[in-house]
Amino acid sequence: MKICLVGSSGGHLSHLMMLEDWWRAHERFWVTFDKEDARSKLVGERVYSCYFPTNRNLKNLVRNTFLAWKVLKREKPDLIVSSGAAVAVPFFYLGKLLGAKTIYLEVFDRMDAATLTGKLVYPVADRVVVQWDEMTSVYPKAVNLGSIF
Amino acid sequence: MILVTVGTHEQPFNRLLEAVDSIAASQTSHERWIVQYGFSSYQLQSCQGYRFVPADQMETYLKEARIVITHGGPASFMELVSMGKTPIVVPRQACFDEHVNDHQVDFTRQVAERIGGIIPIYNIDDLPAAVEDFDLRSAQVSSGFVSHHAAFVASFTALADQLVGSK
Repeated sequence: MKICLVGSSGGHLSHLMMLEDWWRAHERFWVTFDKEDARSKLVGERVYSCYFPTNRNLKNLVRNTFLAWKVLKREKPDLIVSSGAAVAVPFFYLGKLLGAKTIYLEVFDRMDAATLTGKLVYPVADRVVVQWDEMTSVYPKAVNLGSIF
Repeated sequence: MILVTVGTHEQPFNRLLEAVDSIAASQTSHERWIVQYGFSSYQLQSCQGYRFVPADQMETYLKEARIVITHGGPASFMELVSMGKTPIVVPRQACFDEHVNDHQVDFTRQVAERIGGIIPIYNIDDLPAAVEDFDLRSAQVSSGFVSHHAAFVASFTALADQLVGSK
């Protein structure tokens, strides 16, 4: 399968990096911020840079929506995976439209409430993965896989 | 060696840096302090500072460090807990303009209660004693947390294969 791993740099990207034993067996590309930590983590990977800051930033949401359309049309991934934050939103909606499957992984430090990104992508997420039992009542269709750490 | 890391969040964490700098200045043991200071503006005097540390170098430092002091981001300290290495966790607080809200404080509190294996510091004045008495404090908070990483990735792999088909 061809995978699109999309999200903010920092802790969100760390969550996706921790899935390496899964994604390294597949064709893949990344969409994240062009920041120092991301560059050092993704040496040798195929990376598209997206616009930031994204949190509650409408202008960059619009720019990232255009970017998502362009990238997804070109790459045609089978699966889009994100752990947040907001850049996931256009990729999940447009990805869905173009026939990709989507998995949203909620971050470890959310134990009892949804993130804004989680709420926004929930309707188009094929799978929602959480790391705490309480989160399955926050996201009824979520599956709890326990700690990623 | 003592490692301090404030992660990648784009607000300063000067409160922590000032505290570690003063501890480093007053120590008699000449232990080396390495500080990843990110977007902080405080000028370190007694520690070796780096704005960012490349991922592979960070891994080496984490393994070598006798004590690791981190902010309250899970990616910065949970792996240490799963390795049985007790991090000193100083959550960023909104009232000092270190983060947009107090979610790091809430999260740190939850980890300390549910999992253990960390030394949480909510009042920066408590940091010197935590460093001084590290071995004792570390023994007091030992956790039974074992790494769940491999099991998580195996479950995730099965979930993705089932969703997309294992091509």
